[in-house]
Amino acid sequence: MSREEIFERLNLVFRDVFDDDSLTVGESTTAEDIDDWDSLHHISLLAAIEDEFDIEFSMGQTVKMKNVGEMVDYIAGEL
Amino acid sequence: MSITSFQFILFVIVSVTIYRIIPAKLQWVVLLIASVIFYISFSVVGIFVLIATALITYYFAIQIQNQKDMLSSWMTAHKALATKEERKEKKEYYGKKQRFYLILAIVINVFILFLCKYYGKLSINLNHTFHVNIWTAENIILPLGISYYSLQLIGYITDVQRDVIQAERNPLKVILYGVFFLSIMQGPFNRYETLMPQICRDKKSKLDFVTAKKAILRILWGYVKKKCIADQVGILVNEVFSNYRNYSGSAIILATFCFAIQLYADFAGYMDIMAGIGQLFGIEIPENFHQPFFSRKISEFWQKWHISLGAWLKGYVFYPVLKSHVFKDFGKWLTQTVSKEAGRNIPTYVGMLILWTLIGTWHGAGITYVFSVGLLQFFYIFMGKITAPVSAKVKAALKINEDSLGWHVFQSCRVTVLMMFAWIFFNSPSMKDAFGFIGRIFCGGINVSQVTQIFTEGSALAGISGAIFMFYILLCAVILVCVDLIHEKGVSIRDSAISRGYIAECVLFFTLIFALIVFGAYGSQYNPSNFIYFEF
Repeated sequence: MSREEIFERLNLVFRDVFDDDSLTVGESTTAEDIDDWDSLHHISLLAAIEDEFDIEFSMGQTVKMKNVGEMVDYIAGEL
Repeated sequence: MSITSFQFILFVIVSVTIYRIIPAKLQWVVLLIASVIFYISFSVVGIFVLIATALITYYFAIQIQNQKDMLSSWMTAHKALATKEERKEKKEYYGKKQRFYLILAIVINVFILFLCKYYGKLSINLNHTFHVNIWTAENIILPLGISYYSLQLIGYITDVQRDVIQAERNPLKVILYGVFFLSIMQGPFNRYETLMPQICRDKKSKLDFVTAKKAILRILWGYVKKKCIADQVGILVNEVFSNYRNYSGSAIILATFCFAIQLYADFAGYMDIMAGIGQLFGIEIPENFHQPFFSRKISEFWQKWHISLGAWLKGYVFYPVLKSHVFKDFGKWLTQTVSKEAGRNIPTYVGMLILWTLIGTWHGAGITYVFSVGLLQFFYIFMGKITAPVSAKVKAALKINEDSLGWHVFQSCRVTVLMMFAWIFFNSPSMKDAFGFIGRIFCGGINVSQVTQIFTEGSALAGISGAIFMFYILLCAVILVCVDLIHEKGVSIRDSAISRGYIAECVLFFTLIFALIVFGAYGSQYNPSNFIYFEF
């Protein structure tokens, strides 16, 4: 799967979790850029991404990822 | 060795001087010796508990690392020939062993923490309630900083297991991580991966004149917060909280407001002192406060108050609990049987309840702590979440501009009042006293004579007239708010003064010194109190 395709599917997940159809994430998007992306939403988001791509984030990854770009790197590596 | 004593200042000067003279490779040894001396000045027995805990954690971290290395060697050797199933089998085999050592280390750390901090009170309560005669652990000491170093060591070994860091091969460095004197008393919680590389350098960090000036100004500001604000305001707070039955209405509300000032100035003041000393050593310790009283919501307040505790619990408790199979299965079951929304939210709320109970319990074994900074905070956040849709409709109907300054001020005041209410329980010896204290708010109304009385009694200790003392307390609150407002705008007062040249620097420096000498709480009638969070 190409990086663009991952982003495309990832955007759908973000829009669903944060209930915002206009949301578009990029390589450098962080929790600071999305109002509701707090620790409560973080786990829901990761769970939704895990379901979407049929992967599992380790605890190390859960706390280490600094932006969406790193998230995509991890997803691409797992697929 | 009290942080506010002359001995401590001398201790810091000597430590920094030696640290800066000797070669980089030995600097961590100076910090280790200094930290042990500092610790022993409070508790000789406690240091043995700390060293034993650190060595146990060190040993299990090495065992985990060995399992990782063995797996890695096997993978390298069999990469080409092994099937996917064989690789999975090996990963599971070594993974199980790693989890075993991790759980064992966590259990031992938690057991020691429980035995030293909670068992005594719990056993006494059990004996009293059920008329039994179980061991009450009267001779067990409470080692200084155990609530901090236990969690830090658990964080360290968990990070080794998570591949965030490599296990440390030198046991003395793990002991240093536990006993590090800038964090041992009241935090902040340091992560091994950020603290230790700053301490164990190959190359010396240079202390330039500007950094030294910034550090000294920050230390002075920390002492001003502690000695001139927290301790002075504390005189009034202690008087009213200890004798609340003698006061009512406005006097009680005033004491509640003053406790918020005292707690903030005390805790944040300590952090400023430690962060400033850290700068002198070339070590950046994590910030624990970020203008918390400007928060719009309680959840935001906790992202800006005692930040490092929240970050620790989030990374090592909240996320692992929510990512556990039990919670995932629970969420899936709710999605199938109730709704997608329920499957997403309910496990999160249960995780939050566990988290807040732990935060409350971490502060102490008493129910007042579990309630005030635990369950009540959960209730605030939970109510905020579930009433959000209704709240949005009300705001839309009233045409409230959420970005307006007025609305922000209203929200910040609401957060402050909610926290002040919670801190009544935090600062009361029992729930009965807390409710008694709250009950007194509704008696008496505005009672000018009582307010005058507490200021007069407080001022007798401070050695000034009641009217001046009242003005002084008000001034303290205004100063704290103004400084935070400036910081909120992204302006550093220290940096601004230094960038404006020597005159501005000197004005700031001597103002702080003058405040410390003139307004600091000293003298024979003054009983120097410890930092509030020192107890935890």
